[in-house]
Amino acid sequence: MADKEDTERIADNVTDQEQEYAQNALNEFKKNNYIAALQYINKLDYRSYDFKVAHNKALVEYCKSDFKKTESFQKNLTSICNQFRIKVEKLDDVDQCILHYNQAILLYHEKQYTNAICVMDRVYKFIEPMDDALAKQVSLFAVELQLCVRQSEKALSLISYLENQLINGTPNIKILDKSVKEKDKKAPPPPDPATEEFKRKLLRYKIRCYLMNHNLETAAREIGMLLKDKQNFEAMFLAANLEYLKGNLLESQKILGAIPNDCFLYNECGESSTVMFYNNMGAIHHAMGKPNLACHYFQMSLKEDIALTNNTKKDINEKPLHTLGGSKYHELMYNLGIALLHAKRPTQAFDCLIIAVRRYHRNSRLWMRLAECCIMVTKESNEIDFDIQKKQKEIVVDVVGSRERQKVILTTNLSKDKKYSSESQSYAVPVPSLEFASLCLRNAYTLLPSDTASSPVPLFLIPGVTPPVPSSTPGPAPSPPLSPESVMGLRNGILAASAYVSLCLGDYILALEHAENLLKQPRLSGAHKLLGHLYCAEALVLLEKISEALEHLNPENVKNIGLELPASEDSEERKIRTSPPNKWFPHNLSTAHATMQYNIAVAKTIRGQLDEAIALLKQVWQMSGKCKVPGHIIMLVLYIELKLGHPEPARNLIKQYLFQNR
Amino acid sequence: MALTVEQCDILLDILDEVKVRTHTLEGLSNELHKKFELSDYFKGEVGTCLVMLLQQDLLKEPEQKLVAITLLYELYRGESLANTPFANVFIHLLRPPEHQSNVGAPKLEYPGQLPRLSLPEKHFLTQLLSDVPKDAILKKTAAQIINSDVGNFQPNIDFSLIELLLAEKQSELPQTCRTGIPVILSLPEKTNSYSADTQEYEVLVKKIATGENAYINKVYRPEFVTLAPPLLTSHDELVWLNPTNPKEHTVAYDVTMCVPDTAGQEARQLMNKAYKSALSLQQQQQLLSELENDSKLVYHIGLTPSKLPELVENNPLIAIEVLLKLMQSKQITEYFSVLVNMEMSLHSMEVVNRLTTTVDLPTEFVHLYISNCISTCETIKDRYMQNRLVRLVCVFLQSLIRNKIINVQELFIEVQAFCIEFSRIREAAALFRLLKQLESGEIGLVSSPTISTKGKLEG
Repeated sequence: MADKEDTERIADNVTDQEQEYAQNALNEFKKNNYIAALQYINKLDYRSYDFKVAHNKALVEYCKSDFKKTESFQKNLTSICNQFRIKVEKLDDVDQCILHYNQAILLYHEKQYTNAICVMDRVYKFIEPMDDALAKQVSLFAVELQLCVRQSEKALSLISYLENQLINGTPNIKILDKSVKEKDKKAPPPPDPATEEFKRKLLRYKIRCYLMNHNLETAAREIGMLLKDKQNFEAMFLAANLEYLKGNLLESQKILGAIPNDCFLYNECGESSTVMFYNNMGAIHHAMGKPNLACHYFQMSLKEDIALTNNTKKDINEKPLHTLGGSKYHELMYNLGIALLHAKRPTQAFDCLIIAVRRYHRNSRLWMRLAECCIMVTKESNEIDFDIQKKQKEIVVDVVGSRERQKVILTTNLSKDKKYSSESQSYAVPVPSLEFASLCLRNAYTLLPSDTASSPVPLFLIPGVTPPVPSSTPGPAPSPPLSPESVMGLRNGILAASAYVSLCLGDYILALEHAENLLKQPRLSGAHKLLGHLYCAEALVLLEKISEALEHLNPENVKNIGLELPASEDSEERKIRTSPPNKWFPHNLSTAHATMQYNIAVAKTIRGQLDEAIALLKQVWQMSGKCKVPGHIIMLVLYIELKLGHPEPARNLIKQYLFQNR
Repeated sequence: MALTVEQCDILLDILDEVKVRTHTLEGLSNELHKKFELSDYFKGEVGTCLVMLLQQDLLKEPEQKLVAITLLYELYRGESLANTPFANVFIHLLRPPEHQSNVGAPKLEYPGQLPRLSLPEKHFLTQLLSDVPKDAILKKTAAQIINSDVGNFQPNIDFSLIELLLAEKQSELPQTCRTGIPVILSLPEKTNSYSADTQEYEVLVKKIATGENAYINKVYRPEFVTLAPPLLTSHDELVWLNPTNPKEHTVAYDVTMCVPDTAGQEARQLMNKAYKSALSLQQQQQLLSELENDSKLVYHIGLTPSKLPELVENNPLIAIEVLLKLMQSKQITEYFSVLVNMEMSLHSMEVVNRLTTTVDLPTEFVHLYISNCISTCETIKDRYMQNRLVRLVCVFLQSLIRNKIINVQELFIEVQAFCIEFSRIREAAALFRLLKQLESGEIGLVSSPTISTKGKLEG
């Protein structure tokens, strides 16, 4: 303790000569004369006890390399920390903040957002004592970091603090530039360009937050202010985003089209407007329900991104800082994967999403999408189960012998989705299989954001120890945060998919558990309700509880088969219209009811109530004029006739349906 | 796995039309045992094939059928009938299903139905299954048995025990397992030519009964239609890219290098003194007025949370002022945390008391502080100091209660226990009375104090 105070005193003991060197160095630095600045700093080298000198020296050397020697700068910072025993966990001096801030900046450009946030949470505590310029830089950076991890609410609270303190607050005391200090002392400060610029930046961040948490009205108001400047391409991107979210897809496309293609060049800005343009066009087309076109745009964007980020020299020491983390590869892979899935190309979608999940492995919905790919690989659409013509042809798989010894060989199963194999393949192999799907779904369920918004950290824990920064919370990144309603929909979806996959893999107990859990959810879409009952029933039959199963199959249980959650009175409906039209089979309620009745017939057949079953099947068959009915129906009739000891009707059915189509 | 083609050939050879006429049953059975090495598994395969030939009516001659039945029995020679997998077949042969359910009119034919036996055949089978020496009957040929005269034979052996055993076994299987039917279905074509050549027949049998996925082993069960769930409907899922200006976030130069911190120099020196000893009144005033003049100075006087306890002990007034100025700071919770956990003293209590009356402290903090005070009083050894502290705490609590800073309900039990423990001290008794009055609703919280809080605290 005493040592520290001593060094402080020495450090504060500055001669006029030293002050002059420092001032000169600063002036040269401001003029980007890094060599000259370095020369002045070198004159202060003897102050080996002063970490600020060491820090600035490392920094100016880094600037001199055109921000390319990132690695060695990082090493220098670490060694300064070691030498002066500066630890971010024990940060208690505002003077050390800048060092940590610079480290966080490097982490940010290396895309290590969580680590950067850990550092900045400490640094931010000293925002008040910081000098104005640094405080602004630090706080904008803190906002950006929160946006990087899609925590728009946190970002907004930072912004509102900034608005109160830095713009309206009093200026700082420790400002080197005397002239600024003089000017600020005058009572109402005239709007100086720096403050105006800062306000504009703040506004941009605010809009990004509002768009992210879907506060579209406020966003629209604020964007209007930015758009006064016709050449503000950034604002145009934001405006296009707004229209996209509102569902005005053509308008959005128009705005995007008006942005010059080369307004942000990757090597200059660290981001490319071309990549953004193609990606956003992809998103628009996806929302229009044109997934193939969307895929095309995403692929264009991806190609551009790869070209930009790989062509620039490979060595980390050759790339300037701002181009280190500019690649949008994983985000684009995510988008492409989703579009491919909707384009019914599940195998390719799976390959894309598997890449995306390596970076975004805490995203529940992404795991769910992977499971959906696996499911779609095994069953492209439910429609195949309702194609009577096709199913008829599948009833007989072979004809052997001839004349009076002619035998037909019947199918063992018309549905292809059941797979009770004992193939000894590990579930963890990332291939689009139902086994892997079950693993994905388990991840998805575990990572579901909890219902209660992030619980407040208790104020006092252990004396002298500040609570640890919570590790990166499971979130929807790279997508914007999920509304409570979306979380509900996601949970329902995961449960339905889990039940389905368990049934297909022959795990009835688990299937029943998931399906019952699904039916217990407070809000369910009609489709999920239908599925919950169907899955419950099937699992119960296989568990020998046929009476319970029949209760689930009562058509009265299902009144609609909508895909959206039923509206609730307390949900503030923020209308976001970016989901592509979802086409699910069955299309109508009658088909859903026909399916339920068919499954009742199956249950009764298994119980031996063959006459009742056949009567039911007749009813279902009569519905086939109005709607699609399960294609398994003929096979079941055939089965029942054989079971009843009536081979002739069965043979006739085969002759009628099979041979006439041959 | 089913039989291989070669094995199938051997079996068909044993069942050859000509052969079955000329060989005795025993001879054929011996041939079977000689040609096949019969493991349990393999017995099942051969048996399944024999049953299929019977079911599918692929054995034209009655002799062949009888031989097949005999072979099926002989496969498990010496084992108890109920334990063999084909026991059911024999029961069915003796009592075809029609006999059980007396359904009349059209001829019923169930999947996997077995041929109906003539009376002599039944007689033979009954003998085979019953517990009598079989050498004599097995020495005959099939034809001899079929043509034998058994008179008015009635199968009179009681199989009910075996049937019971079989039914029990069946019921152990899940219902869905019992629903399977063979996938092979006869569909005879009506033609005029009736000469079926043997080669074609053998091809047919092999096609059904041999190979990796032999049809013979397959069944059809009623199938559910299982709908796959719809794709998740999600809003704003795809990533939209907006410019983020990554270049704006860049490294910063430390402009404070070699800049003497003149502004706070004097204040800082005073603070350094304040950690160690009480400042003179004049020094205090100087420090406070400097802090007053510059609202940001408080951040530059070198105070850190770890130094707070020293400041509180030596200069509580300064500590209060400084903390009040730091209320906006991001670090204030850390200061509070230190304050609440520091050793309890008159000064720390004074600081907390002042803070409670001036700013909104988090309730959690105040409660923690009170708990801390109470436990300090309870554990302190020095009797004199204890009395002193208890008195202080009581007065402090009264002040908090009267100023409605704490909701006494939340701490009621703890505070009451404290009062009872120290009821020998006048102030504790007074506090207890206050609690009781509050409880009975006798007084609101605005009534005039019974003890001058302020006076006591300072004393």
